[in-house]
Amino acid sequence: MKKILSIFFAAVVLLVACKKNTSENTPTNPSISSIVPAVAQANQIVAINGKRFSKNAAENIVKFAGVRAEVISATETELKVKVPVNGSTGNVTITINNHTSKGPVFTYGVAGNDPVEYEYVTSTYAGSATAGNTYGPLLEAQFSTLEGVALDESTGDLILADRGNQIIKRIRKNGTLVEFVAGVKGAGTVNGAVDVAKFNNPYKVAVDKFGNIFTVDNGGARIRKIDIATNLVSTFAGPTGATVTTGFIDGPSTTARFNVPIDAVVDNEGFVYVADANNSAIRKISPDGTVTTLAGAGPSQNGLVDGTWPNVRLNRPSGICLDKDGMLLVADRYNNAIRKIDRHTGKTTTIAGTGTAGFKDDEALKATFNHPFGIHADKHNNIYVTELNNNAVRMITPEGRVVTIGGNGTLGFAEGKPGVSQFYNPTDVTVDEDGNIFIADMSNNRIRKIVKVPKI
Amino acid sequence: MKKNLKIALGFILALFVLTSCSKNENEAVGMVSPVVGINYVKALHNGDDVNLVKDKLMGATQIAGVVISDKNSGNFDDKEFVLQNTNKGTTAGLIIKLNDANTSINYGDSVKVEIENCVLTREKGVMKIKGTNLALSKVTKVSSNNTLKPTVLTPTQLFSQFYTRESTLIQLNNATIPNLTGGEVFAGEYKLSENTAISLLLSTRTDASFAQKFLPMVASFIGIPTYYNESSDYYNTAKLLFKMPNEDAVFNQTGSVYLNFPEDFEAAPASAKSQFLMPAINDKVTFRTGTWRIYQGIIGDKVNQDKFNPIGKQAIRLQEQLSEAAYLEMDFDLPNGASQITFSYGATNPATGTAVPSTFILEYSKDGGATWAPIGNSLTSDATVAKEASFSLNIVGNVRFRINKLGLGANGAVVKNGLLNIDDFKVYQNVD
Repeated sequence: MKKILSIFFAAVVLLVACKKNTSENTPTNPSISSIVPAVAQANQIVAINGKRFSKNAAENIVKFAGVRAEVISATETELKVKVPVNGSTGNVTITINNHTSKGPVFTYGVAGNDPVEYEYVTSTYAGSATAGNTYGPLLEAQFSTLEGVALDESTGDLILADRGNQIIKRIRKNGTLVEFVAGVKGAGTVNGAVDVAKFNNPYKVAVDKFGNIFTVDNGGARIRKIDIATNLVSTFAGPTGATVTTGFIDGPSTTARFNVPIDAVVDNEGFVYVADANNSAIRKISPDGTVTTLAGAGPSQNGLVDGTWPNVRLNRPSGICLDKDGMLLVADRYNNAIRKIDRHTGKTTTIAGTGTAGFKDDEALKATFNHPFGIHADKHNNIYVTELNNNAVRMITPEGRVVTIGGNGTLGFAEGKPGVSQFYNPTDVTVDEDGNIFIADMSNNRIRKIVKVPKI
Repeated sequence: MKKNLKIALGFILALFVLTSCSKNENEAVGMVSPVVGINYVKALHNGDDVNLVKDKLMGATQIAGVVISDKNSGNFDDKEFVLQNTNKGTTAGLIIKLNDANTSINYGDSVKVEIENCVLTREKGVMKIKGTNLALSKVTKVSSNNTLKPTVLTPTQLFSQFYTRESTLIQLNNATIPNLTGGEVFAGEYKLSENTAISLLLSTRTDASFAQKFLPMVASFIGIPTYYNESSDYYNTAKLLFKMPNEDAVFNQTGSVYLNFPEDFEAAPASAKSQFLMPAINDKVTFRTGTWRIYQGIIGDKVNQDKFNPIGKQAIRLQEQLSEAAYLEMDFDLPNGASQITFSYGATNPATGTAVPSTFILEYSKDGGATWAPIGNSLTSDATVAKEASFSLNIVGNVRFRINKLGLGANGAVVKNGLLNIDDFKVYQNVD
């Protein structure tokens, strides 16, 4: 081993000796580690952090996607630069004495409603470091692959789908405890009283305007309903008994079949819309349980096609919500796109994403996503998207810009600002009426909270 | 084994050391290609003007490609032409700006351009090559009248990919120009999509040869994506324009849909035509567009069997395994011809077993149903999903249509003659 090392060392010395203009083996290129903020508008001052900058401001040639920026002040590790008026979203480069380095992507746009005054900070709202099934104080409670989170608008409570424990739980508005709603630990299909009923991999939940909870029983290939007045669990649509059958069948509640349903949302008239992933379809369930297909064409009919029936195609939609105009929004997972669907006509358009996987903030239809899985729109029509493969939380502003507000592209667990915070399989998102954003951070077994705070 | 590995590793390292020192020794051997790809040249641009000296072009001095602008159309600057080429699967284009008039380089010409010591720049947002010496004489025509095959995109895709598609030939099929009141002409700028998130403008110069032609509401367009920035040379704040090379670049123009169409076959209950043959009513049923004859067919309303638009509950179902034709036929004329027809078709699922495809022909009659002529080729339904059929037409005056499901006989190993659903029958008026 020592021998190899010495050979290697000799080789390194030789290699370095071959390099032109380099008398010592210290790097000479400047490098950019971060831009703060990474989203801003022209003429704002941003800080560029890194190494080996020139203390002489004029020697630092900083370009935003090719457009030179004025450097206001410089130290060896931080430059203050003015975002150039005519630059555009893209990589920032720095050149000093003909040594050029490419830095991270800077995005022209508005972070939040006013980037000058707000930023997004991630913290933990509930759950602890280990998986388990413990109720009680928020940060002592334990979950097991908690996958779904939804707001009960009738009470302001958060409803949680603790998938691994097969239990639906609740955190009351301004509450300090995780409480029981329904389900006995262990998978099953039993209906009845909430302390007897069993769920089978409840991925996500939806809550109607009365507070009734619909669970998307992924493993049971059915939609369950928890009647909040009677405390009874029933099957709302799909197979009723212990036998799990999947399929792409419309019709009366008990006849209808689903295939890996993941998420649902309820409108004010009581219609439930289901992201039926492996049917690549959005299913619509009437209040009486009758199921129809609103968009998409069934198993393996995957594609990214907008329009109306029979042309519309999706690719394993995994998240669904309603915006404030009553339009359905879908996290179309394998299309890496966000779709908008008229809940009456099924007319479908693509509103964000290019269809190619990536992690780029930009105008909505030029931005890229990587396996968007959870989606929610707040009352201002800000759309929040959680992504499995980027382990990030993105926001689509009403002006049509995509901004990363949580996660840095690497899976993990870290609190803090965008670029620093980390998630591990963020599967679902909801927003309370105060604008707090709650994330089901599945593989961290936690509920994370993102708040918009004034910048200091 | 470990020892061998060590030796091998040492050998590889030694090789690495040797080769890493050998730079500059072999560069003069072999001829450098004089031609460099347009995508390579474009990538050199990083905001500032780039002088195209030889060593920046890997020793090359020329770019080659096909001209996609038409100097005769008047829709382009008379000193410029748009050049695109495809290199390693990537199509890229830019504008060649001459310092004299382009009198000879035309649409479909394959050309080589000497670009050494020219300047790569963006003017008003558009990437161009210009130069004090870049005259028409620097352009060599290799061949003419080459067939140009545009890349087909949706307006959404073009909007998403605009940067890479700049100055290449693109086709947008059945694009809708929203909010037309009628009588608008090409000259000017018009939105090219109903999607409000997309700002893509069909742009035509007032001195273009087709500037005063009437604009269609829906049509397919071939054009060149280009930036236009009124106040600076940067592309990011520029408008996204789509410029047709010439008048032939618009086709399949479509007028508005006839009143009450699409026919969704929902206005009469399924019981109104529940038998495949109902001579008592001459097999005729009145829906929202008028009266239709459903010969050897019923109104199908079986969930999971009949392939109807899920907004509604019904579709027409034509009988299977007949040796005679089954018809779904308009019993009325439309007065203003037809520019396009769309409808859905699919194999009805039987109560048990799997769906069997069938074959049919769309036909039209201009004499009130006395004689019929086929439109296009026959279509065969898909066993799994409903599809949309779309035909571009140019029929003027009175016209009616029918679906003629062929009487191919009983199902067998070769013959597939299952049940057929038709829904959402939509006819567009003919413009002009």
